[in-house]
Amino acid sequence: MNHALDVEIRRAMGELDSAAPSARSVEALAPPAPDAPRRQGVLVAATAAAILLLAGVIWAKASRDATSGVMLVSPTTVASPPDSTPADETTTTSATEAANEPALPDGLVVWNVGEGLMPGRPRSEQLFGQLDPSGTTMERGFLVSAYATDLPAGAPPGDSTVPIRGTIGAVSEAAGIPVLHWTESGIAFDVYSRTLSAEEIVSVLDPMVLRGQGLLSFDPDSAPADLPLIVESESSPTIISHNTYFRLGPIDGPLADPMNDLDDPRITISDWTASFESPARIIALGVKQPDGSYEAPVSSYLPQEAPARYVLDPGRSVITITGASAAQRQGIVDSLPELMSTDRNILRDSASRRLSGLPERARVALSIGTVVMRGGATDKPTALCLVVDASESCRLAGLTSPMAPAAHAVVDGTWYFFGIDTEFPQALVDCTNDWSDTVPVEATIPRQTSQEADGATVWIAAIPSDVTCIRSDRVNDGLINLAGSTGASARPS
Amino acid sequence: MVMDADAVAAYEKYADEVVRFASAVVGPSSAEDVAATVMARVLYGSSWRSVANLRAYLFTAVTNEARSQHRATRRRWARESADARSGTVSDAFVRAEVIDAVRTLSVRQRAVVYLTYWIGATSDEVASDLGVSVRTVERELTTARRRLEVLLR
Repeated sequence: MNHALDVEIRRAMGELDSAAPSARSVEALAPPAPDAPRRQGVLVAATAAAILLLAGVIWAKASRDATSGVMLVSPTTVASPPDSTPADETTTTSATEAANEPALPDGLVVWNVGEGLMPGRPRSEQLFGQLDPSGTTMERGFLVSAYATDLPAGAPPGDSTVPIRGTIGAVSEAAGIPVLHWTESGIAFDVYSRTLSAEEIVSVLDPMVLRGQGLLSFDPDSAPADLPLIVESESSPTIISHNTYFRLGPIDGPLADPMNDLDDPRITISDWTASFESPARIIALGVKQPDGSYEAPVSSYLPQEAPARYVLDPGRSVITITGASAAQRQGIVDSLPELMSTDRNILRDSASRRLSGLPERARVALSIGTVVMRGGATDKPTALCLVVDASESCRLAGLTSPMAPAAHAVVDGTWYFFGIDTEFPQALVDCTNDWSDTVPVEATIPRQTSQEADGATVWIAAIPSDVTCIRSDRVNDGLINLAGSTGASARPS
Repeated sequence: MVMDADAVAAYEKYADEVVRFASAVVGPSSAEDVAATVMARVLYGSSWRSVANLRAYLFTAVTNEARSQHRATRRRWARESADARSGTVSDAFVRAEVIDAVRTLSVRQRAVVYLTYWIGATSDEVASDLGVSVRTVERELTTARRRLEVLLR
């Protein structure tokens, strides 16, 4: 049993339970609406009201009179309710733009392009077994996936249990595949097999020996002769992987909730070349194609996992698609080669042009440039734009931190971050050569700010030219604690 | 439209429990509304009178309501997260990381985790409450637990 985790989950559920309001009195229980459309109308109205309220708060904070050194360029539009429809003329892609963009399924276009850096996590993958003579089908075998954990030895509750390697393991099933889980020596193991039963796996693994010395894998020499190691990979926690993110949405604009959380498909392309010396797990789980490549929709093996992952280029990139239907996923996969080969700057520019057509809500000028806030209409995204020398660059904002909308863009070779602190001050930390968890506020990159009377702050930072990596988090007691921050923004390529 | 005495009694018996369950599924701020919507729909009707386990029926109705309002439920949790960070969630304290962790779960996973960990129900009981198989409960619990492990550690 992983007691510490169980206690933490129970505590979390207890917090939610105790935070629940009292039930309203039965007298206050309104009869249901006579028909569904009416009920939906109420919901839409309520949602719209919430959006109006939130948009009003954000724009109000951002558009108060300027303090010294800051000039309010245009009158605020706070009091005006957000438009319910986007500006058609600005969200329509011209034929020239369309010609430069990849053809994506269902009329989807790219609304945001981001690049991020992620530190490696200690984990390993080992595939043991025997392939058929063609080398394309696993006749007998199992996959061991392992990662470092602080949890004590044992198994999750709620599963059928089985003794394994001196502790208790749990057996569950995903798409007909038995999955064996247990924790041992600070390592959490998942073992998958389509050809061996849980009992057979236990009998094979019981005598096998861990490599030790900080490695998370089994010594291949301890595997039985009829189930030798076929392929393995062990990640290095010191390696930083590079990821690219694409936000897709319909040509007339992605849908967004009040927190600017989009439901539309998101593509993450992870470059695992640096962190894995050999192909990663999903290749091992996949089906080898006649041309030697692997095709591995993990969702067909593990349907409970929300993201669908694909190997575009074995050993180099892993594609994760979330927020898309199965049909969209397949269409996106078909479009990936074209998307990948399209110049990122073309995609960024076209997305920026679309966002710059969203209704302007407010703008605040600082000496570096002007921050323009756009969008906020019902179900439409919020964009932050930076105007420098009459050139406007827009990005979807607030996708990672609802309380502190922020964006970044390269303008004339200078990398800028800009945003609004509505509640907590955010600090920008240079992570080009240092991924320390705690950074003193004095070491952060200077921001030019417009401090508003109610605490909101509009800010811009020009990033030094030698900085290629930025992490961001709140300032707390003069320190920035980045321990819970797993990613960073990379200077756009 | 008037609720009869049996329906009133049923409401008073289960309302608080349903609101707390809804808190785990859609978040504290929306729990009252969702619970009231579901209970009104059920108790102003007549089919509930033939239901053997009304508590389970109401839990399932809350779960279905949350799933049918998938986008709205996501928004609610986004608001909960923002509220938690600004300290405005309800009267009780809910850590922001709890809200963020629960947001990553599906509606059914939230329901399973709440009933298992807080109510202390067995897998059989959870399956009965939610109208799903024991195997589904165990699978959802395993998946949810793995997600929470990453976020709550």
